[in-house]
Amino acid sequence: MKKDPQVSENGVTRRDFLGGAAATATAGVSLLASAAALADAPPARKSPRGAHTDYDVIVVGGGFSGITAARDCQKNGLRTLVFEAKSRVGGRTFDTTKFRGHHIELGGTWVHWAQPAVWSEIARYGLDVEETPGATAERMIAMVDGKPIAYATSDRIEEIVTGIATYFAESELVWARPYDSKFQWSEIQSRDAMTTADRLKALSLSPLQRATLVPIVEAMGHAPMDQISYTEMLRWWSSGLNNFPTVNDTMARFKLKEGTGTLARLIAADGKAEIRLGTPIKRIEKRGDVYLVSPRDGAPVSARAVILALPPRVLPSIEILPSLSSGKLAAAREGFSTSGMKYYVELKGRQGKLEMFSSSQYRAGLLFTYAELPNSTLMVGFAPDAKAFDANDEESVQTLVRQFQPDFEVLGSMSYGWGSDPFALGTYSSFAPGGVTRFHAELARREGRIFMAGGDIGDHTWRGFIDGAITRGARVAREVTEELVS
Amino acid sequence: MSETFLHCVRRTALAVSLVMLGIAARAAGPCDPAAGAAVFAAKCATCHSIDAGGEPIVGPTLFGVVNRHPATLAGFAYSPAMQARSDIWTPAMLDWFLVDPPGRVPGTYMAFSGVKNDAARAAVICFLSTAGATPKK
Repeated sequence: MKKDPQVSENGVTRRDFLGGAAATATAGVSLLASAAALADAPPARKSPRGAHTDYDVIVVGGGFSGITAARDCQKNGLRTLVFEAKSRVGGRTFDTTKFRGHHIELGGTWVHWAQPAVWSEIARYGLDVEETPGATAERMIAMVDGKPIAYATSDRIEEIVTGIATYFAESELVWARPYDSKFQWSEIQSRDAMTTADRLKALSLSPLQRATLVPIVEAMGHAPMDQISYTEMLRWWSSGLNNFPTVNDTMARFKLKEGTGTLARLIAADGKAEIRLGTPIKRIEKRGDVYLVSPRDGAPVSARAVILALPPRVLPSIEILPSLSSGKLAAAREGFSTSGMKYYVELKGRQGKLEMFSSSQYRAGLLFTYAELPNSTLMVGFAPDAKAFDANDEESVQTLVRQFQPDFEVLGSMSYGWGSDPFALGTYSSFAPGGVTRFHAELARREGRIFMAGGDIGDHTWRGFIDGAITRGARVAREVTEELVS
Repeated sequence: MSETFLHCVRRTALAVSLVMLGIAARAAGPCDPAAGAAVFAAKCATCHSIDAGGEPIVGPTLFGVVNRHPATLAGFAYSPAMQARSDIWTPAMLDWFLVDPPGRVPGTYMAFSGVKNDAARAAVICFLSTAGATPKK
């Protein structure tokens, strides 16, 4: 690829930096690389062994997990190719400056130094974070028994946090080590069938505690309470060190100043692995020791190993021969809870650092201030049911937010349809009730030289987050390297 | 996005917000590209450029989309569902499609629930017919 003369201070070309947005979304055209880039790659410390193939490794999926795996494989001396169906890298993260001129994150957003894998990348590439105002809300409105209750956060926070702490009191017991399910496996097993609604029924909480807790849990699980795994939410809580301030900070406070796309493109560029954007895969076939990976449009490409770095729900869309195990396919079909909707609403006027709570019966979910603008306020929302309303229809959104405050005026709203995106089929994921014990290990298990990456797979602390995607990608890259390099 | 375009968006934001809110919901009147620019900024720009020769973001550039055959812009990997269509993106077809893209063309890669407001949809189609047909200088 011809180098763009515009080089950023990070040493990444402007062309690389803009990545999918500005570089090469053309089907079958490489984003970063190429034979020339491969020539620049460090020599393998040891020699790859085995049959001659077009590449050593093919990574299917260019989200954070896939590009991390590709970077590490390539740096380990393996000839690596990434197939990405979309016109951009980043998977279920996607930031844009084009929503009414505002910078928003339509997918995964928040990061924290308590998330070691993503923080390592942030430090490596010299990026910075900024705060989300609503994560430290000064004013709250909660729907309690059909009515909005408005209050200063400081007046009611103790009551609210006490309710939350009561709900998650078992997290330290069940996930004493959130990176190791086997450490307290019997505790997980005994609760895995429970929904978050089951746990709620067992507790006596005040109306306000209930009215704030439920939207928080429904935003975490991104589904109605009766569809969310209690065990999985305990893992989230344990990942956030079992206390509300840290959980809040890790999940909703700090976002990348330059956006998740910048980090994704930096990882991709650093790896110098070839990336073919706009290239959906239709078939993966094992022939002897070789895997043939066939794009929907184009000739098959061969490799000695394949890394699947896809949302599990997407796995059945690719014909894989021999087939993946029935356990993996069952996990793809029924292993994860349904996913809700993330959306943005620009409200007229300065609303300050605001957080609003409503359970699934009110449809709007949890909303908080994403950006304070000169004459308006940008709110980010998490609705538990993506089908409950159309977040791209301002009239519907206005009706819903006026439940909280009748004088709210919606200037604009939008949501990306992750559920109807065939390469995502949903937002972030957690296992459905019963899913940890049924699918956790099987989904992560390699089959031949098909290795399973992706942010929703593996036994590590932040599974389901950007951090988990990077952790899994790095782990699988090491396993593939050990397999292929003698 | 050019300064001119941003200026246009800001200038028309108030009027268009009224349209989008349904406060001024009415049958589509005369073509109003300024109103359509704001709808484009809120609904389309995250995934589509409007620049001649613009690279795909998530979807292809919408420059010149009006009266183009679906799935014919070089350099974008369209869904099989869109490739299979033999019609033309006339304003009437766009109006039909933009109400509910995944519902109208099942299998489309366009993960957008649509523009439900009639006036907003008419405005953005007007914008595509004008700004989307005139290269920026």
